[in-house]
Amino acid sequence: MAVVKVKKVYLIAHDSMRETLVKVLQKNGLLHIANLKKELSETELEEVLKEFEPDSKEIDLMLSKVNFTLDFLADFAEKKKGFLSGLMGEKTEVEPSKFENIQDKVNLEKIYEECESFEGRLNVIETGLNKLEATRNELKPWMPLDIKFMDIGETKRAVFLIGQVASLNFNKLQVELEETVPESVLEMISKDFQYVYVLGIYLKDRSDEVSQILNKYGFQVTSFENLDDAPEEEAAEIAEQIGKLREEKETIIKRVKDMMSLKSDLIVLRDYLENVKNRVKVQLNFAKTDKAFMLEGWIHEEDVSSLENEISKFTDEIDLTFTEPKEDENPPVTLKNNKWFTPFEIVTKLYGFPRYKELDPTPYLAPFFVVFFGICIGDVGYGLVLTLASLWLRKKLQVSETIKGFLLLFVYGGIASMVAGALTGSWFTIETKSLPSILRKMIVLEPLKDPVAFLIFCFIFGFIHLLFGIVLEMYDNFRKGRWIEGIFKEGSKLVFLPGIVILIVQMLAGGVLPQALSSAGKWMAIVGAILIVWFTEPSAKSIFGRIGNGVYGLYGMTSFIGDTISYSRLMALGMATFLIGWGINIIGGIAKDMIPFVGFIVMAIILVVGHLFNLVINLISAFVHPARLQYVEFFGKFFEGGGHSFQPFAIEAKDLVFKEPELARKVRPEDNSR
Amino acid sequence: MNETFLWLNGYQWTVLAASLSVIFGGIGSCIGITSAAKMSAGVLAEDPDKFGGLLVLSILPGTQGIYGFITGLLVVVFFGLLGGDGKSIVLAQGMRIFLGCLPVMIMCLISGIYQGVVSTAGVAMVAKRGETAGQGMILSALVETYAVLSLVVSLFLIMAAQAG
Repeated sequence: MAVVKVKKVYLIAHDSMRETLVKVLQKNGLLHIANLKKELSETELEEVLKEFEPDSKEIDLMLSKVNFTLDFLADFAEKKKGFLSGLMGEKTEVEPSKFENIQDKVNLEKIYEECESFEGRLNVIETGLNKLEATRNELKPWMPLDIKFMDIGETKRAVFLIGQVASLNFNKLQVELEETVPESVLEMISKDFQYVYVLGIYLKDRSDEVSQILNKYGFQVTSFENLDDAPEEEAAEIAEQIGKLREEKETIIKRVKDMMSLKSDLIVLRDYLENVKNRVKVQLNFAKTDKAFMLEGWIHEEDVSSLENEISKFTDEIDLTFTEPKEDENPPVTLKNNKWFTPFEIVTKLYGFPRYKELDPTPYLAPFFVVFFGICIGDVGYGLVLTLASLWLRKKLQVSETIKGFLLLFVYGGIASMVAGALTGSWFTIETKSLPSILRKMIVLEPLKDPVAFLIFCFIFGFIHLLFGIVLEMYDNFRKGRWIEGIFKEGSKLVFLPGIVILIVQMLAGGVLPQALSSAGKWMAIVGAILIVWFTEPSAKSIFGRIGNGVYGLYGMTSFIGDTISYSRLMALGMATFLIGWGINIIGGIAKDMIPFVGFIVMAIILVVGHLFNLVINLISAFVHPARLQYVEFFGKFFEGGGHSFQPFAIEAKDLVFKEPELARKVRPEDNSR
Repeated sequence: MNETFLWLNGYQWTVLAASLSVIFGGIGSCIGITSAAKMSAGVLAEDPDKFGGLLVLSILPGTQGIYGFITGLLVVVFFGLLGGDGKSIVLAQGMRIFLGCLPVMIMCLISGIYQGVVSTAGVAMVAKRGETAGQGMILSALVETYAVLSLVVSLFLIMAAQAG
């Protein structure tokens, strides 16, 4: 239930063992390797990088080939990833033995070359098709022409010419040409709404005059340089070519689709290569001499013997030293909690890891988080749907441990929502007065009828949360042996704050409280205030400094007002769920009444879609706002953070889930949620 | 009964309160979501895997519109705007309802826009480091606090206006 104890490791060995050792370390995944080269200068670092370059270059090349192939295949995949699967980052399942031997199994070079040639050929085909289509379109208006293209041009005495002219100008052109150069023919081949397509024949001698007239009316000469036959024959030829190319394209696509089965292997290979690359990269952290190398790292105390064991298995020529972390060091942190609390580590990690010597807040925030979550959703139906959906997704999808933890968090939250919903009479946000009486009897507090009571309940709950934060600070002080500070500094607040609350209640609600309690409150506030003033800064040099600081500390207590009011968000969010759902029910009811015959169906659609929307929107709020209450209001009282996570050098799986649980445990968990 | 202030009687002030709550909350959310979602679209073009986190970040400024909607709906239901009851609202009560809705109208409009700004910054953060989505959400929720507080006060003011 806390931060896992670690030891510092120094490992010195002969250079010849480096590769093997790195492999063993990665497989066992016990060591968090620290950087010994932090203090290297820029040039020195460059030297080191150069040394590793050849290895990593080769791997990078292979990786880029894998990525190319995967991208290429993805373009032809028939089934895209499902929405949920994509949202949660579903992974591929793999046997560990397959993972180890994947490089032998997949013939990357062959697949890559095949894909590359396919891609090249497909590009050529695509360009060819585009070109042919374009020519075909250009040919269309010329189809009625029964002259071969090779005959168009100049003969000994005449000129044959094809071209297009704007429909508006055609008649004028024809008339003018007839008048000036009678020995010419202008034949309309076809026309569309914009142009008239024309064959012109005239004597060579008069070609100057003819071109002048043609230019005047914007006649554009057409030429088909590569075509010889008559348009109809050419078109048939083109159609045949297009058919051939399309056929070839189909064949290639079919062959690519046959390769689709290799995709999962390639994904495994990609992750495998990433791990090989990591093995090279991690060596950048080592310090080296000519013949030996040294690495520095951290290890969980409980793993020390198994590391020694693993290493002694293959050599005894390695020097392993374990030391306790020093005061000024900031060792990496692993959180370890009872399995019921583990999902809540997500909430802690989102804020940041505690420092090594600090308290792990996870188990303390867990109960409050669940209750807050429950109040924010606050509906039996929604809670049930959330719980079942999360359980189902957890079972169905292959996702990372983090996402699984998230889903488990939602299961807890869903159950809490059901409880909150039953107590506030919210069942699928149905109006309270139309609930069966047995459900109505379970209601403790009806938010809409008595929002003030609900608000006060939230304030009380928040106030307890805040006081608990102070108690934890006190406990933290005790743990570190600062008894006096713990008792007086935090104790004084614990006396003062409840006293003030009693006074406030006395002021607002008059004689609700018994006389004894209210006078006790008065004295608690007075004594607490004096204690706060005296103990806020016990180390101050002068008495004035001490009192000055103390008064400032007392003034600081006003922040508790704001902190407590901040919990009103629980009420607002809880009521929001109910009110939106209620609105959806009203709209559904109106739809049923107004639309004849199919009203029921419309109502069902409105209800399902609407409530789902309401649930999702509120789910986000129900996570974010309780988390904020933990971070800002609660953590502020006792928690600092600023630790960094223990990330063992281990096999990393970005897109994979290992079938064998033993290896899966060692796979480095992701730092944070997505 | 037919007393008016600025040409509107009590009933009309009540309708105006409901309408403007929905309108202003909606405008705030629209602007907020637009700025965050636009940026998300750009990030997604580069890295579609980040959809989950970006979706949540972009949708966060949407709550203001919902608070406005709740307020509007409450006014409609509480004061019988659906049936004929609403017609009998006197000017004094109509004004109380309208003024009670003011916190939500103004705060949801403004906080929606600014939450969008913070969410957009969060999107930029996620673009650089995917694992920071959660932190971006929390930062964005800091702005939302004040929309929540305005909703609490508006709810109370509306309920007080209904009580008489």
